Amino acid sequence: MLDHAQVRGLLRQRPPMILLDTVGEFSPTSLVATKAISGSEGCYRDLADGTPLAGFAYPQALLVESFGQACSLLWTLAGLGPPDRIPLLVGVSDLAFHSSPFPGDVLEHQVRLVHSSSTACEFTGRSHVNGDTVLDVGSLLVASLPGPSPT
Amino acid sequence: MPASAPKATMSALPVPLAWSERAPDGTHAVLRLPVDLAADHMAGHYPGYPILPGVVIMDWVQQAVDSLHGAGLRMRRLDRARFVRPLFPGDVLELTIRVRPGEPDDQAMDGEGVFANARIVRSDRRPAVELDATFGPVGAHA
Repeated sequence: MLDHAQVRGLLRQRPPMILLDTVGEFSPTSLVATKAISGSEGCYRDLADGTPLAGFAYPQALLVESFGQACSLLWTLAGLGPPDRIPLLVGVSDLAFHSSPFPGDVLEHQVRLVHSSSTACEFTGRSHVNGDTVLDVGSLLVASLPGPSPT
Repeated sequence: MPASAPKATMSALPVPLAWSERAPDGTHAVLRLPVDLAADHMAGHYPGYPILPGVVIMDWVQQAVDSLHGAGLRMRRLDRARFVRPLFPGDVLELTIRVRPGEPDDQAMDGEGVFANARIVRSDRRPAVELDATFGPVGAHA
């Protein structure tokens, strides 16, 4: 179990792009991480008063980024790449979006390592809210490139 | 242009400035999109080494489809995306999107969806992103 301070210490991203809160389970080939969605997030800032609930569907781009950050945490925790490099999304395939998450929901990302090499890692998994699947990820490919180390 | 209902976004398109070509039938458009260092997401991705998050492209493609076909469609599947070159601040990207009707028997589309293919080239004309996605009516389930 990693609390938010530990998660933040491992992620290379910084606010407002930290899109994970905690890690509940971890093995060298799998990880479960959570993110609580709040109505105060930047993606809702410009919505006008009176916007119906449908307008508050959490953007799919942020949902995928949050899942991808769970993959990058597994990449780091499992030592899949050098610590002085940053894991970068280089490809995805077969993502299916189901019902939309909304403010108040807690995302649970279940990530599994499919394959790793010296140049790239492939992950798969899904994201749930209260047991309902909101995202299926067939394949997410990460490669590392030189960058700043965690601060 | 079809009216767009309010929808949360990660990175709003600079509409209408972004559109440099636009087919009247909504099948094809070209957008020019600056990679803005001042954008919120660039501050945290990554400190000291800003790179446009690849998922922003998903958000831009959703907004382009909203603008071409109304806001009643939502990405149901991201069939494939390849991010082959990083996108750095100061660049102006060219996004070409082609949209065609979906297959009538595709459940994700409920008979009303579209396929979109998007390609991005950097200002040095090198390809950077290619993405294929399937859009279906809001409320339908994949």
